[in-house]
Amino acid sequence: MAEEQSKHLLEIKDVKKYFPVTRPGIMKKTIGYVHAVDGVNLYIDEGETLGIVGESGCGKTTLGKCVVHLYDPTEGEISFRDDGGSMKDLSKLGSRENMEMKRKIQMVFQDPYSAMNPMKYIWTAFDEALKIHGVKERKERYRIASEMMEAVNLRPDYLYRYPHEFSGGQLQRICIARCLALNPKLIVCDEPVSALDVSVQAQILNLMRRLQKEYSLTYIFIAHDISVVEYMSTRIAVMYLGKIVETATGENFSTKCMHPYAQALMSAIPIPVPDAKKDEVVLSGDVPSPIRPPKGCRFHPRCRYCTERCKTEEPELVPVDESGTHLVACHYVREMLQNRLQTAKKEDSNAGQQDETSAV
Amino acid sequence: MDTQNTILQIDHLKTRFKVGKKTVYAVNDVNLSVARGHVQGIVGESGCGKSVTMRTVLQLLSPNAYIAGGDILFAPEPGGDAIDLAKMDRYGEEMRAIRGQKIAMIFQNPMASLNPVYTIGSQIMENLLLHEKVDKEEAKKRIINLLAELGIPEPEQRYNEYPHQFSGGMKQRVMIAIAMICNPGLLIADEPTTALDVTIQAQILRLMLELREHHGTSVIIVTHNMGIIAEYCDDVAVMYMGRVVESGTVRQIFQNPQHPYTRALVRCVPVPGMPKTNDLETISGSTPDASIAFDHCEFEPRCKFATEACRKGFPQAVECEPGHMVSCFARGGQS
Ligand SMILES: Nc1ncnc2c1ncn2[C@@H]1O[C@H](COP(=O)(O)OP(=O)(O)O)[C@@H](O)[C@H]1O
Ligand SMILES: Nc1ncnc2c1ncn2[C@@H]1O[C@H](COP(=O)(O)OP(=O)(O)O)[C@@H](O)[C@H]1O
Ligand code: SF4
Ligand SMILES: [Mg+2]
Ligand SMILES: [Mg+2]
Repeated sequence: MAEEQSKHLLEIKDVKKYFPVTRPGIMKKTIGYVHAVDGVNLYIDEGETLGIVGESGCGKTTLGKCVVHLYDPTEGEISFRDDGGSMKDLSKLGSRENMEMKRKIQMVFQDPYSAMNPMKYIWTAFDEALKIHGVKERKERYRIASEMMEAVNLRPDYLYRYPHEFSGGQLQRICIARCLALNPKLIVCDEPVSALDVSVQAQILNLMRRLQKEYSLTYIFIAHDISVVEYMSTRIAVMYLGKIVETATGENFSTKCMHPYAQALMSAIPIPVPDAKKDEVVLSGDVPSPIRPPKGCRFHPRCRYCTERCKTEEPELVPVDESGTHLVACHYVREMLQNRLQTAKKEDSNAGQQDETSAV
Repeated sequence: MDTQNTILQIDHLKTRFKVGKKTVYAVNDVNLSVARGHVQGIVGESGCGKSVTMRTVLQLLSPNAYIAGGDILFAPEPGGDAIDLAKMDRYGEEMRAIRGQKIAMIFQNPMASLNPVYTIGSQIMENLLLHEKVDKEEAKKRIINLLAELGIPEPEQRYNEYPHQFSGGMKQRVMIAIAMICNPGLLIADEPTTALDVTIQAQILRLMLELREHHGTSVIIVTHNMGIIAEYCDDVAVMYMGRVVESGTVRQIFQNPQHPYTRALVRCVPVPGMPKTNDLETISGSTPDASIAFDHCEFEPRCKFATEACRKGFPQAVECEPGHMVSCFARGGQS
């Protein structure tokens, strides 16, 4: 266990982030909380891409912002491995260490236009970021910016242009270049291609994969398109109403996932293959409000396997394979595993019989 | 036109916008035939003219837009006559009778299309009474039945509620109810689920397949999502810069794409289980400015297969297998 932990670059422990809901008026009285992230445990290994999928409002962006320290978690701990190899709690750093950690964890947003100041040359974005992080000479800052523009296949003289002069795909490449300029270890990519056309999306995904190798980057890749997440990720986590309901390795995630929500999500996401064989799981109803999340298992009002127990008792994330990397939070995961094994056995024996008959 | 099997046939349609001194060439030469009772997909990247084409069918165009040529033949009854919608006055009686009754349309953003100060019942009623003479009691019964069919729980109660009391998915169901109340032969859905979550998207798209099943409605789904095309459509037309560059059945287009643009579109999206060592296919460059008129194939500047012919004119569509049309010089096209 100790050996395994030493690989972790980032650890998220019981992290919660609540936003107060206030009654409108002069006396802003808090009348409740949005449970945006509500007890998340995750780790990220160096060099891997952790995909996070889930429907809008389930807390993906909020979790990402906690990781890059744009939000302070309401509860819980996020720790990052420093150069010496020991895990440091991000909320307990001195100011110098804090700056250093902020440099190492960067974020790319869904809408590149809102991430840039429309009134300023894009050079300013590089210049300010590098200045804050202690690159004192202007010449050096310019050299780094130019180099990073080239790394994302753009001409360095584009630095003296305004954001609106670029297409969405080009500007997203510029945002990635600005992150790279700070020489980060981890980049949180929040739906970086969701707003782009598919041909441009492919350019960005290819670029991100190349940069990951060249600069030894670790990614958290947030998206709602499972085909894209499966292609990009070494491991995938599914989020529902502020909680992780399942995590497993990225290989064939859409067919091996077991949580009833994860299965319904996979079935709902259209796949660009005609006549693709899929289990039809139609989810009824809408996602409940994160202000008053359902008791027990949060998914129970929409779950087709729901029992009395699900309505009161909250399921824990438990491992379902030997390596302990595949975790599922559902009371009935054992039964589902059992079912799956039986079906697999039946198919095996059917196949076996066919073999025999064909041999005769 | 074979009105027995075809409900809508668009020939050489051109729609343009006047913006100051400029002209925006939004629809350049659209040829499209929608089979009766089928779900027809229209796919292409943003700005390629999908919405303008569909709005032209119903003449729901802004004042600076004009039809520069072409026909839109619509045959409400199988075997009956076809009428040319492109020749109608956009504000005229005839067009109003077709819009909302024979052909209905729903849009990406249901919030913007519903009036916040009227109950949803009265908004559906309005469209029904506009086109049919029914007494109010009868009309209300029909609306409540339709709401129930569309999966809206407690329809009697919801009938009297206001749009803000509905979630995004439920609002889109209300939009479908407004569209379907007169039982139109053709339903046009322009990115109907782009603003919705995937589990809600699946509910809405399955609902459209059910409508086709129960009422025989022909459906056009406009989308930029290749997954929606593969999973919910029978036929598909691929658009690029105001033209249909390839069309056919969904299987033909995905398994045997011919146009270089279609080929790239099909291969640039990852599919589950594909080897992660492969890079995705990309298309170099980006779409050109729609306010500059092309005198040759619009895809030529980005095309790997372009030859001299491609720089000289527009390729006409050829049938490369039954029902599968492609417009490309490299695929046997001639100008
Ligand atoms: N700054 C904020 N203040 C109040 N509520 C917020 C804030 N940011 C997000 N939320 C709420 O928290 C929940 C999770 O949001 P978000 O993290 O953006 O989800 P996702 O990225 O998965 O779509 C939503 O219900 C959202 O409305
Ligand atoms: N009202 C308008 N005035 C001027 N140009 C327009 C107008 N509406 C659409 N266009 C232009 O027409 C082209 C096609 O747009 P559209 O049909 O909306 O594309 P799509 O639906 O495929 O994304 C685009 O270049 C767009 O900018
Ligand atoms: S714990 Fe119960 S309600 Fe939750 S997913 Fe499992 S079966 Fe469904
Ligand atoms: Mg988000
Ligand atoms: Mg559109």
